[in-house]
Amino acid sequence: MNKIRTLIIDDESLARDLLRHYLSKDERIELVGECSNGFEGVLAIQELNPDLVFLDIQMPKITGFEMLELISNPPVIIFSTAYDQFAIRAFEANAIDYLLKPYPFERVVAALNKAVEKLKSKTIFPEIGQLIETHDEETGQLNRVVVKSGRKIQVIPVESIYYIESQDDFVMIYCGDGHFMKQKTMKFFEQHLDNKQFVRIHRSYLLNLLQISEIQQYEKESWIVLTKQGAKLKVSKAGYANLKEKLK
Amino acid sequence: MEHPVTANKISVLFYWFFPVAIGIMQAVFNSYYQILPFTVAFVDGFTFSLVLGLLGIAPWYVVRYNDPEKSSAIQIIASHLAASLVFTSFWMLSSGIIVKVLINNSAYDQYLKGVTTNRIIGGLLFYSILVSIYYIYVYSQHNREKQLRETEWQNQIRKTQLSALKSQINPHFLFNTLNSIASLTLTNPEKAHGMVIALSDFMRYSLRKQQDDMVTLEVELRNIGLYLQIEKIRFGNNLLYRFNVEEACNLHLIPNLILQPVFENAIKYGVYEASKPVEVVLEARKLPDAMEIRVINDFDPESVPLKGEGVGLTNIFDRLRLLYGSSRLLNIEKGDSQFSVTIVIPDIAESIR
Repeated sequence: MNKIRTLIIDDESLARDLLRHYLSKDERIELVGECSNGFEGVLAIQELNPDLVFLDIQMPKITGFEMLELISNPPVIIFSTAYDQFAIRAFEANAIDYLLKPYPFERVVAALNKAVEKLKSKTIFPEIGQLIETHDEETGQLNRVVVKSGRKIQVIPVESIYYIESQDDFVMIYCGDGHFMKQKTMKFFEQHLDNKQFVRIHRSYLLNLLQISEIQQYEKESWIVLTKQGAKLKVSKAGYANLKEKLK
Repeated sequence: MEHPVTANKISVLFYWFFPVAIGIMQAVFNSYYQILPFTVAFVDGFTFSLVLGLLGIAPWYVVRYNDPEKSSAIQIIASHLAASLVFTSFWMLSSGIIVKVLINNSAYDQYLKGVTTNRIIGGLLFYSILVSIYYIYVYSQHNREKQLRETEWQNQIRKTQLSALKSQINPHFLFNTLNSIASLTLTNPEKAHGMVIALSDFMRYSLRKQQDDMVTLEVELRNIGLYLQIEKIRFGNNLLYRFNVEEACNLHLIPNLILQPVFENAIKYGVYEASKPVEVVLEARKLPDAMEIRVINDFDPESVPLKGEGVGLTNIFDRLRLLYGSSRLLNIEKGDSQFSVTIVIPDIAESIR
């Protein structure tokens, strides 16, 4: 059997040292790389295409979960983290195991056995983005959104979002740095952005109130919002009611 | 509840002032208008008023057994009606017998017959005034007790809140440190040894200090030093730190562990997020009636925190407000690439008992 091509993503060098030491004792593993933050991690997964990733959750720039949102065909994931507040979420993110630091070698072997099973059975993974999303419904308000365009990963503070437009099964986020596609639903953003600042003005638009420059009536029951950047967005009847309510 | 009249000497004097005054007035009036001879007028006035005063102690018990919070209004009114009638007739009868013994005078008998109705009304009036005063007293006592209970309760809440605010050893820090130690035991046992000792001292301080409230800045900074020493092993050269403390500040008292969250915050948002070295600087200087502590750290302006500015700082704010009763002792400034937290520690702490 081919060796399992494995990547370690952890911001602490001592933690990587320990894991590397453990993995060196298991013949099935071939270590293909190590990353110390989420940005490097996303690129490394794309370039090295590993079978298995040991992933820390709390890391600089972006978290392990946010990383997974940016990867379309994620490898098998084993979370390796210090604290168990994320356990449920990790399994919903399709992790096959969840190691709590510090953990013994035996625990790593058990996780690797699961990984081998998983890789052998060639199970088709459900779309990981969706799994994370179902969980996110429960989490609180978003403070930032992580997007990727080409090789570049961007962390957008939610205040700098102008508006969000829904496309078929994704959304387009318009902000100061341009526009970015994100595999999430409109409903998700409607629920997780501050609803004092973001208003659903139309089936297709979620608008940052601070971006309104003018509201024009366009037909009897439809309006148009002119944004500060000069975009024209349609406003539905229900959306107009929402707007009036929020601008009161 | 103690009887309000017999509670202390002053209340006894105050209480007796009224029957005595009434007695004197009565006697002076009767002798001045020559209704009664001088001695008879005085015996009459004093007998009736002193007996009234003696009997006046009793309605208190009627009041005590008719607590408006427990018995119905009808019940209370009925028992006071009955009691006032008994009170007044007992007063008239006993005083009447005493004056009869002291003054054997038919003219006086005549006079007494004439004023009986007035006296009965006076007796009833005295009873009702007395009862009203007793009720007011009961109410004020109840209120005072309630207030006392309330302050006590608030103090209790304060204390609980304080201990909740203090006892927060960050589990992330703890388990990550243990993991680093596990790693070091394999690669660098000497360093692992140092780290176990630093962690033990840090833990001991944090656990023990939950009982005491105030420590000197010097002691607190020694503990912060342990914490930073541990983080420095974890993050290597990415973490630099410096303390600039004025001589006069070293022995200044501060609430224990108040600086811990500031440094945790500085490290979380400064060091954890940064890819290049970050410096954390502490400055302490003496103000006329306070001490100012300032913690400044660099941060990566590109980074967007996952959640707002940490619970740690909110906890400090709450703790300072609870301890010193002021909400202006914590000041947070966020510049382009520098974050600074300023804490003012007044010289005298409002006692938290």
